[in-house]
Amino acid sequence: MSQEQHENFNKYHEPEPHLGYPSGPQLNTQIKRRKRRGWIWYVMLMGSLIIAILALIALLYTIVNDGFGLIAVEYEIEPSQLVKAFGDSQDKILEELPTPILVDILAEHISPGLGRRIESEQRFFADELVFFTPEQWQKGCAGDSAYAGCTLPVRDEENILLLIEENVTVPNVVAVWKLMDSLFSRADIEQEVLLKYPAAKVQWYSWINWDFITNPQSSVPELAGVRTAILGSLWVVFITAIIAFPIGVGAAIYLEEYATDNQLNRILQTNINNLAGVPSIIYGMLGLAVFVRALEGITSGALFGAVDASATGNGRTVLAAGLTLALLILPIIIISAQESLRSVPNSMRQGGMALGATKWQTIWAHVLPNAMPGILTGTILSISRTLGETAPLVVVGASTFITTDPTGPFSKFTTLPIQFYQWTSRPQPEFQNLAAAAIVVLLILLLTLNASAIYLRNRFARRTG
Amino acid sequence: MTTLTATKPQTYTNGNSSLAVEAQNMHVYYGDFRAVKNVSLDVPEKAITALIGPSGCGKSTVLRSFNRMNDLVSTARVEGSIFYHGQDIYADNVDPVEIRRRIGMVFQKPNPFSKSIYDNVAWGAKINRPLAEVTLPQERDCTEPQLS
Repeated sequence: MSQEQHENFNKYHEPEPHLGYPSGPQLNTQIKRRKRRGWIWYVMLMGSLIIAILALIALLYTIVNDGFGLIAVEYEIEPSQLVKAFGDSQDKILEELPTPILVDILAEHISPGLGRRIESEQRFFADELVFFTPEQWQKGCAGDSAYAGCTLPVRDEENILLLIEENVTVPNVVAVWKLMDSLFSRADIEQEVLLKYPAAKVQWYSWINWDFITNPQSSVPELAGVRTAILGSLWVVFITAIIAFPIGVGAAIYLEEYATDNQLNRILQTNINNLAGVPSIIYGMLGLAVFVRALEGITSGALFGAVDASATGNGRTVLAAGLTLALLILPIIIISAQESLRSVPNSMRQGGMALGATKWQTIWAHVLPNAMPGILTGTILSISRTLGETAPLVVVGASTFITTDPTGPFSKFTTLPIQFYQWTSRPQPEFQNLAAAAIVVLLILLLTLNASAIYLRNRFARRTG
Repeated sequence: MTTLTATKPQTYTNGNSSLAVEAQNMHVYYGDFRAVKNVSLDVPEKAITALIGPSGCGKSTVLRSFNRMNDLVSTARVEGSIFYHGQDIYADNVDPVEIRRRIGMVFQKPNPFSKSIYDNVAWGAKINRPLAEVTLPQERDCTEPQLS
């Protein structure tokens, strides 16, 4: 031990005050200050969590507040009047009446011409005609332009109730209230309705209901639904996934396993990283220029003769949207797939190669299965992003108002976020409620897709891991 | 790091078999660093040859050079010549995968694949099937984590 080391050693073992440690009141203030600093950080971190939770609660509150509430409905003829006139008991509601009485109600209130049109589309009874005479019916069924009702089965009760709603009672929503108002100022609302709409009835209404999910888009808020948008969203997501996943994973495998570290590949890598941050509307411009305009023959299906000219979306189709969104999420899929490939230990590759496997055999049998859960996580996240993406689809040309369901990759389409956007921009208050209901549908769809994808991934991971 | 400098060692063979692997004046570099200097080594056929030395002296590097596993390290470079039954394994027309199919290697650290035990054992035989016609026994339902 040198002289200097010796001195240090001795210093270290001298009593406390010589080490410069504080004691007494000085020590207490120091500890207090340290604890205060820790406390400040604790409060700040906790605060950010609370802010996040509050934001989530606010979102849910808005949706629930808009999605349910009281409405004031005006009927041309009130259902209770119909029951009074036709029913055997006053206590029943319209839906409880038997089918023959419902048909009587309909026959009473609509013109014979309209009745014949309705019956020619689909009959009410198998053994009885309501608006036709048997001779007229046989004449109508003969010849080339026979009625559809000649072959179709008879209408069910639900269908007849719908006809009554459309043609007899004709409910018309004249005012809507949000859930909170409905709950806490019911009396004021009824007062207001009495003054403004004496004929209207106040009733509870849930904007999220089965009809909302199964109806196509409509300009009448009570009849509007999201079936077209749900199908459009699913089609676009499906096309995006089947295009982006193989290309993205393939590119990631090349970059991670095969590419050598040269200038070109470094430039490629940098560009992919940057592309992941490009605003989505720019991809929309790209999609419009390339997929909608330049490749119109392919995206409209005209080259394949898949669509007749009247139905084509002129390139503004599910396929064009899917391709655009696939470009949008490609960089994200590539980066996440690279990340998970990189996390596969190198010993796995070496072990495979040392057994005499080719590079591809090793990648296919050991590297890919190990990286798959990570790759799938990245893909699921990007697919979720696709489902909520709006801006590029607006540019690519999603239809804002469309009532026909997409039937294939060459159909015109709309998606849930577009539908939602279009509804919020309308002045009528009913559409705000519809928008809230559409958000709920979108969230449920998103969670369902995510949950099933995660379930599949976990099954996959258990099988290989 | 110490370097392994070897003259031809005494080898004990089980008779009159010929050489399986023969290294002549082999140097292995990682980038500019010379990890193994001037190794000449005869590995006889049908015999066990042990390579002994302190940690980090280059035993693994020498072994990895024998089945071209060093090709997988981008900075590694082998000078000199290594013969497998008289064939220079670093010749231009030699396929490294073919070399590794003939010269297997077991690593110091056990390295199970995340598959069943059966697949771990059988995989090497499966991928080398054209080389030697192997008959694999019946697969048993026994995954790796259950054994550990």
